Amino acid sequence: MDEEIEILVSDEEFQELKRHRREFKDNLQNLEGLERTLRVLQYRYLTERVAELEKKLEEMKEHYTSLVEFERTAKKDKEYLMKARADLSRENRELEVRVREHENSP
Amino acid sequence: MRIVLSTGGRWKKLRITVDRETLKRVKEMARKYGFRVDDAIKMLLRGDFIEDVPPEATDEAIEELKHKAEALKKELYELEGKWSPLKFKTYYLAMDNQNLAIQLSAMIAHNKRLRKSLGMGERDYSGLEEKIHYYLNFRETGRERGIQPRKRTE
Repeated sequence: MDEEIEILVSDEEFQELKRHRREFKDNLQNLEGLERTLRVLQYRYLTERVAELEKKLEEMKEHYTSLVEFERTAKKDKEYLMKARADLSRENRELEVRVREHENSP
Repeated sequence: MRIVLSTGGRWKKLRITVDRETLKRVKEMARKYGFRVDDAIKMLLRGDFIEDVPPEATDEAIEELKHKAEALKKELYELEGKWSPLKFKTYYLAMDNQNLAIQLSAMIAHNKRLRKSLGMGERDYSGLEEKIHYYLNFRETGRERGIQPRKRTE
């Protein structure tokens, strides 16, 4: 018995293929047409894929650069905020002493 | 050899006889151009072939595109590897600054009260307050920049 390959298709596909039934014999001879079609489809897919990847990479590079910039700013800000905290802490302590002295003075 | 097109049911079946060599070539083509054999067979049977072939769609160009896509994927992967840890590092750095902003906010209010009770004028806190405001609202601005905490994995 001949070997069989079963291909599952949807109802719509089945009807469509059935309509082309008379052309099967000729189509099966047209392997060049199939190769040409597969090659063009693959070429189109890869062209789109490369463009997509290039766009994604460009976006990511922008994002990364902005993140590096943000890290640099946040580090500087941290130093600035820590210094301000030390300054204010010192000043507040001195002012508290002066307020207490002021309150205790007759 | 026979190709059987079926909808999965018992009755809707189409049987097509095809020679072994044709099928072998279809399989080779499908593999070469990254298609499923089923899809290539269906395409062949339908005969919906592309006639308008752009001259640049050659096997060499396809190979070149494949290499380009691989190189881009590699570059993306490497950048992602550097980007993710930096994202979390900057988030926690910003959170440190937010804690400092909270502390400073209370300290400025205290400083204002003390200066007032001593009859002194206010200090210029404008630059500092700008930073405090920025980091107090960091959850919003950070989200806009895509800086978020690491998701906890269970």
